[in-house]
Amino acid sequence: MTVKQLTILFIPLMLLNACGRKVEVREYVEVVQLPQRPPVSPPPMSSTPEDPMRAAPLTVEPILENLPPNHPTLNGGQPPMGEGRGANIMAGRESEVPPPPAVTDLEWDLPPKWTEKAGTGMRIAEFYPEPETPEALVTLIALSGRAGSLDGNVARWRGQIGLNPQGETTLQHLDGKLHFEFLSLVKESQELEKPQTIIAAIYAQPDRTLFLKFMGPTEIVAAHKIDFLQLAGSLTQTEETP
Amino acid sequence: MKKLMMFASIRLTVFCLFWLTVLTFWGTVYQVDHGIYQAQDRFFNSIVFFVGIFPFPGGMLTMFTLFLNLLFSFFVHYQAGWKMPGLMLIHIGLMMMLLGGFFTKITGIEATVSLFEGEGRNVAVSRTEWEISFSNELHSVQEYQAVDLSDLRKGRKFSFRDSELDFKVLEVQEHAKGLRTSGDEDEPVPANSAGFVALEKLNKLKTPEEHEPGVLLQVEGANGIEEILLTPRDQRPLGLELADGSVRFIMLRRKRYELPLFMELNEFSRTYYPGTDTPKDYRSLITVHLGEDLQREVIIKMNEPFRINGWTFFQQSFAVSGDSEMSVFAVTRNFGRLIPYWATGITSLGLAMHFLQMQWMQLARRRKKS
Repeated sequence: MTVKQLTILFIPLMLLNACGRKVEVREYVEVVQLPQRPPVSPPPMSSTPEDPMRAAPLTVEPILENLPPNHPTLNGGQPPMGEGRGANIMAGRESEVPPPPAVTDLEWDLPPKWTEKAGTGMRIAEFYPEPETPEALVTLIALSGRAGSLDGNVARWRGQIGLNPQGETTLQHLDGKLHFEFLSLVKESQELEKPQTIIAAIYAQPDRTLFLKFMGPTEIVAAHKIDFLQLAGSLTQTEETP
Repeated sequence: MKKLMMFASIRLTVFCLFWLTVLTFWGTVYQVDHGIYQAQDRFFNSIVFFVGIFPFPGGMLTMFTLFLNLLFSFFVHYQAGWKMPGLMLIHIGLMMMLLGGFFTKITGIEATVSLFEGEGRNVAVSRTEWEISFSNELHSVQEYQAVDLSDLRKGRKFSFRDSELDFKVLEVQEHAKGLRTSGDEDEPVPANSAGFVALEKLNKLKTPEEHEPGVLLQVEGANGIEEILLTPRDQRPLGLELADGSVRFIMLRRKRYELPLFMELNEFSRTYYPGTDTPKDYRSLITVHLGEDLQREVIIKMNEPFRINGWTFFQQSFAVSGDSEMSVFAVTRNFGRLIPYWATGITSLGLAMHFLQMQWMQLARRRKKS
């Protein structure tokens, strides 16, 4: 085989190499199932709470059909609890009485070992990743109108952990049962004994914005970040609006 | 036809084998500074590579030429039939080996699937390749259209079905850094969710899985012409508005390979050698969903992969975060996995037959002499 013959062989192959391939469009379906853990019921209330005033069964409203005949509530002329005076009012104790639990159309799967408390008002729920470390707290809040502004809330959070409120915050779009934006704010400083971190999932909805915020010592937040994301991914809206 | 017979030349065989030796040596030296992936790409996966302005035949061209040489030799030198069956089998075995390598090269896939306990996916993610994905929505069950970044060159055009958008590649970089200022204020600012306006080319790394590519595209649609810049550091997929007001999402991400199954990690467990951090055994219990009503549980553990329809799932590594454990599987697709075994078997058989035939002929000659 001569050099000339080899050259004749190589030239078309080199041209072929230079021309390259056509851009091919592929199609596929991606299915991602987020970690789904069985929902864990919140632990029963302690029988000896720190605040005995809060242990009183203030909001129990009798179910009429469960009461025996001639029960004073039925025939004593007094309105049943929860009617007229409000379910949470007890004489002399108004200041101690917690407001009613927030009514919500939201559902979520509680990560294992976390504890949950019903919130009040705009605070829909509170979650404690480590019950013995109450300063590491996750809150779920619904805000509407100007209070639900993303920039305003993020600036406020930045201020809470000592960051410049006007600094740049990057948002990451994530997709759970609801779409949400995820952000992470970390105050890094060797001078701080317990550096603080905030991670949050923000759900923009037509009539409100939901903020799932986890604030606490950096090491605790980091240890529970995956659980937090699972909680954020599991948050969904029930069909029935209260 | 006569000219074609030049491919049967024994000189060509010697040249090809010699050049493969040179490529192997060159590639081995080259990988010290540039890493194994770059050495493979330059010397073995190329048709031609250049050193300065001088072209040299790459591994693909050399092996293709060697294949032709074997094929023509087979027909030219062994037309006499089965007089030398051993030599014929050797040629067939070697050709199978080369064809098997080529088949694996063009159809093979290497990727990973990472799953937390309770998580499930039907796609594997490439470690080194990237794609531009395009979708109507960003749901957990989502249909995507995608083009491979490796197919893109400056000036090439493409479009996605039902999008009415035409894309033209203005710049594509295998490894680049996003810049927030381009230095030229007259240039149009491309849309980008991370605030980048231009790309700065960076030298390739030894480890291509750490590359961060970038691509600058011109998009032409009903709303006019605009430029978009896509990088892995984008904060969110870029929304492109169509004439009817609907939005499509485009992003640059690691290439997805659709698996023939949906796999769900039920449980991950590991054990260590006593008193050490050296893993003795780690295993994943997965549920494999093959169809609507067809599913089974499979254990994948170290050195015991799970194979199905040409795909192999190896237990590669794991990560622990708090109470959650993530299992990482290396996924390969190689439909020609058994070809080298067959080829080696045939070649060995051919060598044995040829050896015995030669011995037999020598013995016959001695008998004849005596």
